[in-house]
Amino acid sequence: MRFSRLISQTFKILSWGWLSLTLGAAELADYHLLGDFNCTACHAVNAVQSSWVNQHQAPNLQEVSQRLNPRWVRDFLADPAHPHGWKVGLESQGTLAEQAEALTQYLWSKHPQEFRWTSPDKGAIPRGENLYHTIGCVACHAPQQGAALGIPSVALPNLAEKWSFEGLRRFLQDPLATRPSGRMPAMHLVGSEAADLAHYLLRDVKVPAHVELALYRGRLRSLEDLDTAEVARSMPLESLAMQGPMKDRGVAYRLTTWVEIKTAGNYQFYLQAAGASRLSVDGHWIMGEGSWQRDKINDHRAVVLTVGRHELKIDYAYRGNKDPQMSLEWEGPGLVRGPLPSGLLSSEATPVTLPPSFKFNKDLVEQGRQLYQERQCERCHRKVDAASAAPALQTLSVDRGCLSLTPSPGAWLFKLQPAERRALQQAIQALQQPQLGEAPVAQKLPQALIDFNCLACHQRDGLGGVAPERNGYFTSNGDDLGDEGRLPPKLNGVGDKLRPEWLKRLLDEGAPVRPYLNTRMPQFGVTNVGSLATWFVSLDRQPQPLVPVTDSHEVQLDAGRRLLGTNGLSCIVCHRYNRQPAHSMQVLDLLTVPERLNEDWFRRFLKSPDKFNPGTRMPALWPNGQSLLQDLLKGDTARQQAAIWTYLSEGPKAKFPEGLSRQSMELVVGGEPVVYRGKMWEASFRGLAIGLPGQINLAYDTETMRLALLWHERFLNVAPHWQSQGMGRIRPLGKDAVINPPGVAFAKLADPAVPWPTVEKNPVQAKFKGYALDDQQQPTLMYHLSEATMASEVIERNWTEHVGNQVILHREVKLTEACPAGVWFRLAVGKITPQADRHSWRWNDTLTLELPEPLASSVRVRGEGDQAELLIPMAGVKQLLINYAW
Amino acid sequence: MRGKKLLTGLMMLSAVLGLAQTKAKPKQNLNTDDLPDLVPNEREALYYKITDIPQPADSVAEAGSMAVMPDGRLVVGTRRGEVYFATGHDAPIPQPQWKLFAKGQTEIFGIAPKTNNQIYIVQQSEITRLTDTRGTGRADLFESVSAPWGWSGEHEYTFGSCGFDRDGAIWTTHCLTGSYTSENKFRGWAFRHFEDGRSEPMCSGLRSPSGVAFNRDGEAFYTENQGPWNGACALKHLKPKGFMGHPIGNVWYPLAPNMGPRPAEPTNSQDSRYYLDAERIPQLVLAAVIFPYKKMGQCATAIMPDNSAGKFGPFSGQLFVADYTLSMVMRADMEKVKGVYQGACFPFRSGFSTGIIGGTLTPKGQIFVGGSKRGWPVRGLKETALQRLEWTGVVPFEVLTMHVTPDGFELHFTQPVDVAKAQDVKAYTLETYTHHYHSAYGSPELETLDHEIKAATVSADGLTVRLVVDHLVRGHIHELHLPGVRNRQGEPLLHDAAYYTLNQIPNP
Repeated sequence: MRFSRLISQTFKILSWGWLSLTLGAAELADYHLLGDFNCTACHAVNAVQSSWVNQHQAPNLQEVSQRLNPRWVRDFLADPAHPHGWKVGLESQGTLAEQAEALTQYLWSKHPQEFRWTSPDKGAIPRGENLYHTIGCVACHAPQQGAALGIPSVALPNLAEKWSFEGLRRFLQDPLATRPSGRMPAMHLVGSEAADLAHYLLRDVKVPAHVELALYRGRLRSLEDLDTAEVARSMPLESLAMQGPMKDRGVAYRLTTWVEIKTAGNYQFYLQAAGASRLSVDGHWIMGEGSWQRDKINDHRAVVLTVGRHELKIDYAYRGNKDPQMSLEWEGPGLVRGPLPSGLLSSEATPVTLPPSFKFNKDLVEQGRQLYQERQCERCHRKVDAASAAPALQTLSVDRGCLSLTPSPGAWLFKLQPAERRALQQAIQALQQPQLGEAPVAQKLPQALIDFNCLACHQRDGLGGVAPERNGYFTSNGDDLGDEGRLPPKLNGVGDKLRPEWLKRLLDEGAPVRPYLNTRMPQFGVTNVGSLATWFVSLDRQPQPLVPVTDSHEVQLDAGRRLLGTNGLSCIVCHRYNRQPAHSMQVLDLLTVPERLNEDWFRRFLKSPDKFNPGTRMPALWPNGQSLLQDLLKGDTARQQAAIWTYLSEGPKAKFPEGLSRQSMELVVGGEPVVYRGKMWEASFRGLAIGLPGQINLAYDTETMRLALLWHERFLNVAPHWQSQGMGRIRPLGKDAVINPPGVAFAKLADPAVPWPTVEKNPVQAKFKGYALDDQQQPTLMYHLSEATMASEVIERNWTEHVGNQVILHREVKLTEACPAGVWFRLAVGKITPQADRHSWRWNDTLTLELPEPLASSVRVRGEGDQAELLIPMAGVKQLLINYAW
Repeated sequence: MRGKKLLTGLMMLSAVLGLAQTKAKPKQNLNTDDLPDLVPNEREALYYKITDIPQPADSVAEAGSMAVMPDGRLVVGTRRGEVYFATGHDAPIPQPQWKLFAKGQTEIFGIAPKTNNQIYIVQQSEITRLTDTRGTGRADLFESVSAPWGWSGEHEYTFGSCGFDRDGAIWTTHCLTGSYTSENKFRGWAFRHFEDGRSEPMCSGLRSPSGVAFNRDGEAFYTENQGPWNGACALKHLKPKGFMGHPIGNVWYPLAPNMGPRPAEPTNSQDSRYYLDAERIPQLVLAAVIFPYKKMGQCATAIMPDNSAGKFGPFSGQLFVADYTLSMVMRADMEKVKGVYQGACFPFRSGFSTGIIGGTLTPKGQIFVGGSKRGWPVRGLKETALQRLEWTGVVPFEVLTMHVTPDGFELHFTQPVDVAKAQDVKAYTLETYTHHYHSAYGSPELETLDHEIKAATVSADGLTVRLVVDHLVRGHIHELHLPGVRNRQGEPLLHDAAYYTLNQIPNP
C-alpha cells in the first residue's frame, strides 16, 4: 500500500491529465487509485469492472528474510505516520510497535536468517554509478550525482538499511520475481552488472574489518600510479598476511589499515617484498619508494608513534619473476619483531560498529502468524483466489468501511487525503453504473503507458518523452547520430509501424536494435504488458494497399542491391547491413527491416522520413514521391521500394550491396618517385611518404623531421584516406619495414650518455620548409635547423641505385652551416649489429646501414637489445651520406 | 466545473512533463505533415541552369575547394590531395582540358591563386605554396608556409579561404577533434596567415566549420554545422577576437595573447539562448544567418560571394552557400545593424548531383561546385561530380533582399509586384522561433510564435514592400512566407520563403 503510493504519486497526476485528453469529461474517474490501494484484492469485481482497474500486486514476502533487514521491516511496520496494513480495532492485540515486532518475527520464522552486511566493493562502485546513470535507472529514479532535479522521481528509501547486498543483487537481476506487477522492470543486466549496481546503491554501508585490500588493473609504470589507477576490486581482510588474490602473479594492490598504538615510542617497521612495495605511515611514504627499479625490497625504518590510531598504507606491485611475496613486521616498546596483530588493526580510523542485530524470539512467532492472518496480508502480497469476506465492489457504499471518515472496526486504516477519498469514491461509483461497458483500448493503453512509466523515455502523440531535467542522462555510444542516437524512439503510430510479432517480441524480450542507445529497453513481464502490442495495433494500424509490382524476384534483387549500394542511394553509408559496419554512423542494421516493419509503413516512411521523425538525419530519397534514380526500374518509386523490400527480405543470403567492402586504392610507383602526404601510424598525421623507383619506400614525420619508416616492395594503400570520411591512418603495404620510434633526429646532448631528449627538451629545433621536385620528380626535402649558436638550412635527398641485382638507397643530408659541438644525429633505433667492415651496421636484422669514413669511425652505438641507438656526432659536419640496403 | 478540472489537469500535466511554455499566443503543436519536403523545384531550371562538367580522364577531381586563376583557368583542390587546372570549363558545352598541377597533398579545402604559376593551398597539415618554377605546368616547389595548428585527431578538418583578405592573408578554420573536443592545439579556432609565414589566431569557439570566404566589406565569414552549442547550421562572422560559441577549444587562450581574455563559460541550461549569453559574454559573436535545419539544408559548406557585377543575375554582392547533404545552393543577404551582422537566407537552387564541398562563383558569373558523397548522407546520387550553375538571363521573381526596420521588414523584389495583392497583409505569414544554446547536439525550434502582419505598404515602383509586424523578437529567426504575393504577370515567387536571423532591432 505504502509502496505503491510512493511509486505512483509521481505519475498519478498524469493519468488525470491524460484521461481528460483522451476521453473527455464524461469518464474522468481516477481508476488509478483503485489499483494503487489494491481495493480489488478484497472487493470482488466482475470482468467488465476489472478491465478498468490495473491491479498492482504487492511484493512477494515468501523470501523476504533472504533480502531485507528485519530491523527495517519492523520499523517500517511500526511507523505511526504510515501504519502499513493496520485495521481499525487491532489495538486490542497490542501496540503498533508490538505488532510490528511480532509480524517480523513471523516473517523471519519461515526462513530464519541473520542479516548480513557486505562491504561495498570500491572497484564495482564506479561501474555501478555509471550504469545507474546511463542505462535508464534515472528515467524514473533521481540521479545520485549533481544537483537535485527539481521534478518528482520514484523515491528510493534508505537502501543501505533495508537491503542485504545479495538480496538487492538478486532483486535487480530479476525484479519481477519479487514484484510481479512490473512497475520495477528488469534492465537486461548481464555479467557483474547487477552486483556493480548493488555495490553502488549500498556504497554507504560500513562493515567492521581489520584491513582493506584494493586490487588494481591497468598498466603500471611506478608505484605512484596506484594513487590514480582504477581500483578493480576491494575487499576486507582479517590481517596483513598474504592471502587470496594477493598471491596471484601480476598483482598490484594497496592495503590500508589503522593500527592502534597503546604505548608511545619508537617503532621499527620491516618491509620485505618480491616486487615493488612501499609503506606509508600517517600519509608519509617512509620506505620503498625506489623499489620499482630494484624489483624487490628488504628494508626497515623507525618511526616515533604516539598513543592512538595511525594509518598504514602498503602498496605492492608484482615485478620480476619470483612468486608474489610481501610482508610487514614491526618491533617496538615491549614488542619483539613479528607481524602486526590483527586485534590492533582496523580498516577505518574510527572502528566501525554495526547496529545491534535483530533478536529472534520464537515466542512471538505465533502471535505474528495470527496477526498476519488477521490483517489478511496475503490478499495483497500474494494473489489469493479464495472469496473475501468483504462486500463486492458493486455493493459498496462509498462513505462507509475504509472510505468512512470514521472507519469502524475491521476497516483498513489508509489515512486517505480528502482528494484521494473523493477520487476513490468517484471511481467506485463510476464502476457501479449499470451501463458500464468494457474499458476501451483508448483508455487502457495510455493508462498502461503511465502505469509502467513508458512516457519517461518515449513520447507518444506529443505527450511524455524525456523530461528536460533528465535529458543529459540519455546518452549515445555512437558518434554523430545526434538525438536519434541517444533518445528512445517516439511511439507515435508505433502500432502502424511495427509488425505485431515484433512488437510482442520487443515487449517480451527487449529485442534491442539500436545498440548506440545507452538507455536500455526494460522488460516489464509479458503478463503485465503483453496486451500492449495488441492495443497499439488496434489504435494505430492503418494499413494502406501496396501498389502492385510485377517485377520478377531476380529483377527486384538486382535493383534492391543497386539501390542500397554506393552506386545507388548509398543507404549503407549510414546504415549497417548484415552486421557489417557502415561507412560512418552505424545506424540500425537494414536487415532487421522486414522483420520489424510493416511494408506499407516502410514505403510511406521512405517517401518522407521527416514526417515520421521530425529532425531525422535521414534524407528523403524519394522527395515528393519522385525517385532520384530515374534509370532504374524506369524511376518508378513503388517498383524501387518494393525491390528494396524484396532484397532486404532475402536476408543474409543476398549478395552484398556495392561499396560495403572497402576496396584497395593502391598507389603504385613506376618509373618516377611518388610523394604522398597523409596520416600514417608510424610517421604521424603530418607524414610524408616517398616511393622510389626500385621498390624502395620511406616516410618522414615532418613534425620532427625524423625518417620514421623504411620499407620495400609495394608502397601504400590510401583507401582509408580516399574512402568514406577519410578517417584512419595508414601503414606500409610492402615488407621488411624498419621503424624509427617517435623522437627528434638532431639533438644536443650535454654528454654522450644522457638520454635522447624529447621535442620539448631538445635545444635543437627542426622546422619543415617543404620540398622540391626535379625533372625526374625526385624530391628534395627542405628544413631549417636551429640552436642557440646555429641556424642552418638543411636539404635531404633520397635516390636508389641498382648495384648488381641489389637496390641500394642513398640518402644525403646537407647543411648550410656546420653543427656546433654536442649536436648528434640519431640514425637508427632498434637492434644494431656492427659488421666486420667497421663502417656498416645491420639494423633490426633487416637492412644494412653504411657510412663513409671518417664519419663511420666516430659513430657511437649505445644502449642494448632492441633499444640500441646509432648516433653520429655532428660537430663540424655539413654533410651526411648514408646507404641502406635490404 | 468539469471544464475547470480539465484545464487544471492539462496545466498540471504540462508542468509535470516540462512542456515548452510560450509566453504569448502559443502555436499549436506543429503538425509534421505541414513540414515542407525539400523537393526539386522544377521552375528553378528556367532561371539557373545546371551543367555537368566532365571529369579528368581516368581520374576524378573530387573537389574540396575551387578558385579562378588570374588567366581565367579554373583551379580545383581535391579531397585526394591533387590540384587540377581546367580550361574550357566555361564554354557553353564544356569539354574542359584538365591538367594536373600537383598531387600527393592532403585534402585541399582551401585554394588561393597568387599568380598563374603560383597558388597557395590549405591542406590538413599546413598552408603550402605551390610554384611551377620551370614553366612545365606542374608544381615543382612545395613550400610549407604556415602550420600553427595541431593535427593528430580524427575529423580535425581544416578549411581555408579561396583567396586573400584585404591585408593579403589567407584565413583558416579548424574543426574540433572528432567535432566534439579540442585535444590538439587550436582545434576549434580560426587563423589568418600571411605569405611570409606569419600567422595569428583570429577567433575561438568554432565547432565543425566547412567553408570560409569574405563578404563585400572584406570581412571573413564561415559556415558552421549543427551540433553541440549550435542549434542549426549557420553563417557566422569571423569577427577578430570573437568567440563563435563552442567553449571547449577555449583552453588554448594562453597560447593566443593577442585574443584578449578568455570568454566566460556559457550558462548551458535548458533556458540558455545565444543572444542572452551574448549580453554576459562580450566576445560571443551571434550567428549572422542561421539555416533552419532541414528547411535550409543539413550541412552548410562552401561560401561563394557574387562579385560578378550582375553577370550571375540580380543578386550581386550576396553570398551563395552550398549544402552538402541536400546537394543544393542557398542564398544569403546580410546587413549590419548596431554593428552586428545579420540577415536572411533564401532557397536558391537544388538538384545537384553529389555532396557539395568546394565551389566558387567566377567573375564571369558562373558557379562551379563539386565534391563527393562518401562518408555522410547525401541526396545527390553521384559518387563525385563537378557542375556549373549559370544564369539563363531570365530574372526570377524573388525576394531580392529582406532588411529589418524598427517595426518590421523592408522587402525588395527582383520584379515589380502586383500592388493589390502585395498590400494585402494576408499575402504573408510570419513565424518566429529560436534554438537552444547548449552542449547537447542540435536543437528543436523553440518558443515558436505566429505573428500578425499589421500593414504592407508597396512603393510606387512596385519593387519594395514595407511590412509592419505586431512585434519583432530579438534573437529569433523570423520565417517569412509570401504565398499571396504575385508579380504584375500574376506569377508567384520562385521561392516564397525567407529566414531572417534577428540579432538586433534598429532604433526608430
